[in-house]
Amino acid sequence: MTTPLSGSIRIEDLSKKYRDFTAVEGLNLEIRQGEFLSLLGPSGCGKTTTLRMLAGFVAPTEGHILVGGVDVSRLPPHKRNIGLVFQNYALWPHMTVYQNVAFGLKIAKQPRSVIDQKVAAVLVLTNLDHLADRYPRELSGGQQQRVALARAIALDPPIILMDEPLSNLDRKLRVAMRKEIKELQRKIGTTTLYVTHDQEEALAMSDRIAIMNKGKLVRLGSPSDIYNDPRHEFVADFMGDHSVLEAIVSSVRDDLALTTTTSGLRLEVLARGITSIGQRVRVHVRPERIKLMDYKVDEPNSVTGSIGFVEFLGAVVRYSVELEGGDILLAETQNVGAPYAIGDRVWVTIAPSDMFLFRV
Amino acid sequence: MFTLPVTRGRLAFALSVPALTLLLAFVVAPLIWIVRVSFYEPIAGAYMRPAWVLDNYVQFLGSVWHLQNVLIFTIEVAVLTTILTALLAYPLAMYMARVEGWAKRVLMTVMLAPLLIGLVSLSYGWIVIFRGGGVLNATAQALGLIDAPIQYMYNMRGVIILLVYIGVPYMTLTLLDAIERINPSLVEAAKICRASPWVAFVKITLPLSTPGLYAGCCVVFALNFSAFAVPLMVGAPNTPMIGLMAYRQAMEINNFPFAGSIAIIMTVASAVILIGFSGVMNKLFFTRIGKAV
Amino acid sequence: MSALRLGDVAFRVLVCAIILFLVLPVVVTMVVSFNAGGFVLPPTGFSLKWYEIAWSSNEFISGIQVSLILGVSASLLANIVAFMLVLSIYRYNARAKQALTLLAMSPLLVPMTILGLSMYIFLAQLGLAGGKSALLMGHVVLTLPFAFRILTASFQNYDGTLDEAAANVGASPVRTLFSITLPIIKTGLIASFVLCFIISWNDFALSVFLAPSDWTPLPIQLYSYIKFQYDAAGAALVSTLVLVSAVAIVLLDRLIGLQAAIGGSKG
Repeated sequence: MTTPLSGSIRIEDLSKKYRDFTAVEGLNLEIRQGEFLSLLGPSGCGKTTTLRMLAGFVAPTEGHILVGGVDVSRLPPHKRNIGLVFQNYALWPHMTVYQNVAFGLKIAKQPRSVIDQKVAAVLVLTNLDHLADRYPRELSGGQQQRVALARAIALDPPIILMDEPLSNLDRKLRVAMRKEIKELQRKIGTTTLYVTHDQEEALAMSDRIAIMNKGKLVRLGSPSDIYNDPRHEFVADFMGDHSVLEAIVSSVRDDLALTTTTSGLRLEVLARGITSIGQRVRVHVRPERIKLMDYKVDEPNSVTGSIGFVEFLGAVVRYSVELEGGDILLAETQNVGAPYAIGDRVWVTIAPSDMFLFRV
Repeated sequence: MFTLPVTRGRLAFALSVPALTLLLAFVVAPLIWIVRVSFYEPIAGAYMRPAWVLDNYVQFLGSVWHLQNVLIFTIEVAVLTTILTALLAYPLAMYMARVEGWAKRVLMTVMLAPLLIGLVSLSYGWIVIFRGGGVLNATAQALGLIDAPIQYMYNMRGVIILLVYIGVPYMTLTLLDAIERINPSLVEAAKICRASPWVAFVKITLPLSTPGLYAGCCVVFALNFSAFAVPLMVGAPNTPMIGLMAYRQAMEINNFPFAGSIAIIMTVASAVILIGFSGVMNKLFFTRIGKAV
Repeated sequence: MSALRLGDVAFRVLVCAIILFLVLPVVVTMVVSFNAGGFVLPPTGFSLKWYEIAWSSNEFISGIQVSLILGVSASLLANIVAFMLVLSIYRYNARAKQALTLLAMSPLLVPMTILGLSMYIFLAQLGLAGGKSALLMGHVVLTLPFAFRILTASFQNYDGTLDEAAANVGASPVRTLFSITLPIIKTGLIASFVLCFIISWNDFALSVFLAPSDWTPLPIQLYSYIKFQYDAAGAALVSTLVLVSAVAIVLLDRLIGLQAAIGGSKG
């Protein structure tokens, strides 16, 4: 059994610089024992490079990686005891499921009985016990993914890395596997670093999320922290489909900033530190926070508009609302009652705390 | 891949050393050496003295007999056999381009088999058929068709038969590749314009496959021009082909410098001819097909 | 319409004739080898006497031994050396990839005559000509490009993450090579070995320059036999050789396909 704290990761000033571009720059990150942390970001943000540096396939240009307090930065990959689930699973085609999972244990020269026992236990854990003698080509995508997982946890490593393991599966399977992986991680309690570009996955599975962009760590926090308090425009953009309005801060009162958009629309937004009058800002509005009514209400930020188009998505309905003055907002409501139709006049209300301001 | 860059560089180098040594020692060095030796001065009794003389080149190039009977003769043989090979390979390649499935696989195997059956075995087959005491003659005599055997082996006829025979697989392969690369819709477009298959072939496929023909001819010409094993095996003892001459000078007469100079002359002649050939092909076809040959 | 049909028939006849031309020497040899009457056709009766004569000849038994040892050793060496070179270029990213590849293919670019001639003269100068190792090295160099070409194809089609996964579970680079990489590219390896063997087995042009007089491979011995003897036992021998080639052809075709093995235009 791995000892507590042996599964903590500390990344110090980690950089990877290539001749003509920098993949990762000055990354500092601590991952706690037993935590499920996602590295989230668009392609090219450096998350995969970071994972490969952790695994030992890429040598860092600067910085250190400490696992359980031990500096592994210069160790070759076969000497680091780190589990890795590959994006393409990387199952060895000439070996059965059993042999794939047992290979690491064989190398560690474990006695046959121990190997059998360990492999059997892991296969049960991943719902593969009836497939032990199959070859990878005989398995479905989801099953192959589980074998990759089983192989990673069979050696009982202090940390497990996952490189976008669900990206090759179809949506329904992805959602199901997401739950399975999270359940498994909770059961075995191994520290897990999960790399993905899918924010829904990250939000659903993680204890904390680390958002990266262009090689740098941009935001670190729990899913709700990040979602409710993006702090960076990049994060706000990445985490949802916002409507963005260009505006200027016209006045400030208490903790509210009164902004005027280029088309004259006036919105009261929680200032969150942006208090200079005349400051050009972008106002981000979350679609699901917009309230649509048939009548005017006595609340801040109540404006009329007409429905531009309607997208019926089953559980939710999306509207594009054209406000008087010309600004267009995306709204999302639950599918309750009859949806609005194109051309309907509505009243739009948004709470000041449901919008974000970012300096331009 | 996952080794540190420093280790990786050293490992890459270390792993390439055996191949490098072998190839440098047994291919590159001998080639450089033979150029050098061609300038040595041969001394009677199969010896030679280090020098920088042109005697060997003069001996060959300065002699009309050598130039005409060996060089020109070999060129003639090579050109003739190349043309004959092309005449045989073209229909075969055309046909093979049209068939599919198991027929194609069988044909491919039959066509490529000579490449994997040794020269000696193949020569034996033809010798058996054509030789004085061979199948054709023995049977013809037994049937009373002829009184005395007709010589088809151990002379130039035999050499030409063998050279053509060995050239066909190479040429067919190259041609087949070129024909198969032709976009089928080009031929279909011709058929839609009501061209018959024959016309479509002559006007579309044939011109478009010339790069393959060109490549095949280059390969076969180079092969046949420098050939020595075929003339050695099925030719007359004094066959005046340049490759054989080089062999004889080295192995039988032990005149290394002369052998070396013959080899160099052979290489240069072959290169000149092939470059000239490519120039001609470019002039004739470049403007029409728009593709450098 | 009938002119077209006639043309098509004529074409097919022509193709048949060409194919007949291609198979004739081998077929005739085999027929003769089983023919009691030797060279006189049509066959008079089935007989194995030529085979008895051929296989009991000491020279040929020794020739087969030499060719076998030579073929296996040359093929093994060529493949090991070629594989190391492939690793060097494609896994460890050696610099000067193109130069190395060109060098690896160089024996194919040089005409056989010059290859054999220059090797002989060079080795003679060093006093190394006419030895067993000279012949062996010659064959290794001769077959190396083929091994390199096939192994390169195997390697380029290989999924590198499979090796990474092995390292990740603790396999050292050597262990990864033997437990993962080699078993997966097994087909290419075997095909390469077979191809190199058969090229060495059949070689005459290089051997005639380098073979020692007391260690002659089969093709050389066959050559002298054909030149000086006139009986049909040679046919039996050639048929045996062709059989070996046929086995190799079938193997290669089933492993990686004949066309891929020979790999486009030679020379």
